[in-house]
Amino acid sequence: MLQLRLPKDSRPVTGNHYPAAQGASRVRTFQVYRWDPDEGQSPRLDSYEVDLDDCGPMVLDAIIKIKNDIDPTLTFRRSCREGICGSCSMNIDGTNTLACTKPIEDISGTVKIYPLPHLSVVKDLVPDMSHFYEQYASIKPWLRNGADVEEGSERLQSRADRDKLDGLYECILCACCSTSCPSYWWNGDRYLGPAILLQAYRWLADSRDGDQDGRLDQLDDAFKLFRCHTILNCTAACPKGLNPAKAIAETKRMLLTRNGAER
Amino acid sequence: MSSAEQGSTSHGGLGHWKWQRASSLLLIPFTAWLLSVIVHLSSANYVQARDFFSQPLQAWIAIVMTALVAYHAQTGIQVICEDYIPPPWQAILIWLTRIACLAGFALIAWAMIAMSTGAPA
Amino acid sequence: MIGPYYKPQLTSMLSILSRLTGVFLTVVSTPLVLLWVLALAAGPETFGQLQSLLGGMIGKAIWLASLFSLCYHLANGIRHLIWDTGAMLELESVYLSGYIMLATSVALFVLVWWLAS
Repeated sequence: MLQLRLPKDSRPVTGNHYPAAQGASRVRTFQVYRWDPDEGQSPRLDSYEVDLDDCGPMVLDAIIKIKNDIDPTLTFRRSCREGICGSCSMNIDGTNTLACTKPIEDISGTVKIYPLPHLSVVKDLVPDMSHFYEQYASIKPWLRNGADVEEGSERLQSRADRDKLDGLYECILCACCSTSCPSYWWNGDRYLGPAILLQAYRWLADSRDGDQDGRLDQLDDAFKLFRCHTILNCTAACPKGLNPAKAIAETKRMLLTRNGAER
Repeated sequence: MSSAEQGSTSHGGLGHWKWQRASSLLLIPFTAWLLSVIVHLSSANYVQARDFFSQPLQAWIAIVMTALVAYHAQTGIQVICEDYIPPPWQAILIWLTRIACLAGFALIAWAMIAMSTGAPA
Repeated sequence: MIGPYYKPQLTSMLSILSRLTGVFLTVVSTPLVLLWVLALAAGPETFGQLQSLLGGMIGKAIWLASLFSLCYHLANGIRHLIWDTGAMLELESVYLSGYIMLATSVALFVLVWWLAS
């Protein structure tokens, strides 16, 4: 539900400051959200000064450098460092993106780094993604053809039909879009959110799938799909350039024309 | 589950969404009418304003627009309540909004009918 | 989360303004229109009383806020209906249509305000 302020003990306070080494030339400050569940303290904002001449170009390079050289307790997810695994999604300079594809030079002033908004924090920049993954499982992201299976046969798909999956299959489930959506902030328990709805549409749009009706039935709900009010923060946030808002609009149209045709 | 079982009334997700779009679309020409009436009546005195709405056409346009506005507003407020207000207040506020919108429509319809059926000024 | 956590963008700001103008129209403007219509039906004395009640600075401010809310809500509403057909949902189009819609709603507001003065 609507939450205009965090509870008092969840609001971050000013934390530690780590100045740059002597002789550092191009210095930038990185203000990072820190919270340790074992410490029993409020979250805090630690500031790290980093010499950009001694650091890679991306925000991920900076926080890895901070962890290696300054503060080994800084905790975050990362893997591929090339924008394909979706691990390092976080809120940088007020918007959600992948740290590994966000150039530091794109940001002016202090670089503010927070975990993805409105998700429970496991530690520092690591959010709890379990509910997000459960929602993904709930849309049954696999081909459904019931008993209509011929052993040893392929499911043929024309190029035109395969093109319909472009812009849908490339999603890396980083959750930048869902956690940029105000409806997902307030009603993420029941609203599926742009990422999962994009994936739901990916299966609706797949010509090889035989259960379009069942999928649409499952989505026709005041909360699962229709908390989307076309706010469009999702499309603005996607670091892969995908368009969840368009997928959701197409899903609503599919529901509309299906029901209209039957009446 | 067949689509017949999920219910095609306005109590599902699709129903509300669909009828809200329908009311929005219909409200476009009516809003143009409203803006032109605002301009027209801005220089009118009481008698001229009263005469304007004593014309059955204008009165009936007003009544139909009021019905559309009442529906559109009610549905819009309902969505806001569903977004922000947890139960049990959610349902209570939705019902209060429905009553208020219905009452508002009834009052304007009554006033328009009274004026267009020649009730003296 | 709002506050210092998510940067306000054209997408979210134009969207919430649609909601705020809708609520203002429902809670403030429409009840006043209702009173105006009832006063019109009631007779010249009642109508005159309402006019003087709504004549001051506050009344003028509410009138302008209502007119702008109507123009903005109409313009952004049309933008929403276009999106519902699936069109113009690419990010560049969203930003372009956003600026055009804002300009249109301000222009319409100024036009009607001027004509009704």
